[in-house]
Amino acid sequence: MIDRRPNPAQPAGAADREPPFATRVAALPVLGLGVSTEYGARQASGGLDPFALAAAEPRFGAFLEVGVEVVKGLDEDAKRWAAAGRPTTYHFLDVNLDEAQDLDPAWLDAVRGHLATLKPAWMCGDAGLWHFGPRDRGHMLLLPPILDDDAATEMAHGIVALRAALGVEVLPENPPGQVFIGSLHLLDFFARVAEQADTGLLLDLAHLAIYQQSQGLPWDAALDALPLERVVEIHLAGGVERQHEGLTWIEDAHGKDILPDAWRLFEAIAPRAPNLKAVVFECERNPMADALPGFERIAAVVPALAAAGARR
Amino acid sequence: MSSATRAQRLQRIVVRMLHDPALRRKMYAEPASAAAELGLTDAEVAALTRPDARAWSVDVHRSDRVLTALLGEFAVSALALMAGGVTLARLAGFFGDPSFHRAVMQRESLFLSFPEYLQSLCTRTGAGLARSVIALEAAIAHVRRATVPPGPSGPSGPSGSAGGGTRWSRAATVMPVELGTGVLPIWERAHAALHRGGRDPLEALLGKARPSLPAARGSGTEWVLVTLGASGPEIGVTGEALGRLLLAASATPREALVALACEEGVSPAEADEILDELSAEGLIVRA
Repeated sequence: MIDRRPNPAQPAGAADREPPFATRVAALPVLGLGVSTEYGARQASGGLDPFALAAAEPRFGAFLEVGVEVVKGLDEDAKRWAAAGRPTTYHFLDVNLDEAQDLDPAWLDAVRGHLATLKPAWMCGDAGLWHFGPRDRGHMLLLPPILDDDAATEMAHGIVALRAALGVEVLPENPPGQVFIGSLHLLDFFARVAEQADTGLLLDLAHLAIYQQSQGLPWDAALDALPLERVVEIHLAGGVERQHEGLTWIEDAHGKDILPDAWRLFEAIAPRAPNLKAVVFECERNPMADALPGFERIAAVVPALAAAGARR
Repeated sequence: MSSATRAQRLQRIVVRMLHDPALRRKMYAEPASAAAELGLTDAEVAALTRPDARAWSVDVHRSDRVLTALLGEFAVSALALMAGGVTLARLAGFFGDPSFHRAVMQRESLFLSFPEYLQSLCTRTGAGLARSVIALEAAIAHVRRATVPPGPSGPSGPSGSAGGGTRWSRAATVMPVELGTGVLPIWERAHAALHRGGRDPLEALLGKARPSLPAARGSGTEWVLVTLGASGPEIGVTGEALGRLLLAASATPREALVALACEEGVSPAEADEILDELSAEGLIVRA
């Protein structure tokens, strides 16, 4: 059964000299609505061109979330976007936040180099197991964490350490998955992580909707656990229902058709998240024309945010 | 493994279950036995088997992706084994092998444990070529992942001298390998054929035009030294004496290395000089 106890842990010891999150978040820029990319994404898939989107509809291409695996680096799109002084966020694809060994000097140096190029508003990424063993080729799997107090504490330590090492905000994202182990609800887990690391959150609503479905829970289960004031960024993406040996499951396909439960979550959360500064529609594999209706619906829910991003 | 937290230990079991269907079946069908085998509590096994058993395998290509990456570095090894009748399915049997499970639990690179499994497939007579090729590609994988110690004074430390009273190890960026005579040129040709035009070697391995491997001639052995160059691993032929000396250097007292060198017919003074040279070249470092 899912454990809904209050968080018993104390804060993991965010740097004493550091202002609290409530102060730090006020200094973060409002980015508006944006899109995501990763190395070679546009060339490989023939999908969304972020430059064309920004030119055609500035409200929807206000910033670029750049997925980075340091072994691959930044592609020409990411460099060109950053060179133009356009806003970015840095989405890591290669660090296990709950493994202290993963924050090794060589990786940190490489990340610092990319941060210097991108000058992102913050760093974010799925807080799960990106790889097993040392960082290596072919190990990428992205699993959710074990949903218990110990794992939340380990993850919080990693976030604090990474924030201190790099000097940027590190927003953990609830990762995708079909197999979840542990007694905590996903939102209880990330509430504990956020509190102990004194950090904001990137809430992926496709991942959350898929989690609720996989656990047989209603779309809004445990929403009361979510610290709305810590939600800085939201992801939305289309999912595809699939069958496997008679089991219905939803693939996080980054399609254009956002899941109905993800819309419900967005409409319930976004207007009530006072520090929401960015929404990414993860539709990078789709032509722009296919993505525009989704963007329009997102903008209708958060019109002020969409307008603010376009003014930057 | 001892430094892993409970959550990390469970996470590693999850990784094993995702890649090994036999382990999954055992966890669900024989939880008590699985708990004892894996050192888990009943509650931990219950947590691990709470999800619908089918959910573990919705990503049907998960293991294939890992195997593809592994075969990218062990392509000639796979070619040699497949020439001897080993199927792709048997190569994929790695995910049920103790070498895979140990690597996951101990946070080792799979690229360093995979060759252990490949060697276990060399059971038939005449598998000498495969054994040599696997050893060579294992050395390349090892050197590719070596961490170069920082510091302006180089790997030998401030003195740069292999002085007495110290222990010495082979640098992590150096790996001597004993191969069957004639294996190195065979490997070079096969490697080039499998990677021709920048293609994925798996395509060549599974295609109709799979490169053939000539038989290695001669019954003797020769030594090569794999080192980490500026653009990646480099392979050079070396002498047996140097190969064995480097292989023996594993937190080894200098006196023992001198004695080993002397067995090859050099004087103690000459052995000293050799060790100094190896140190200066960064082939051995203070342990």
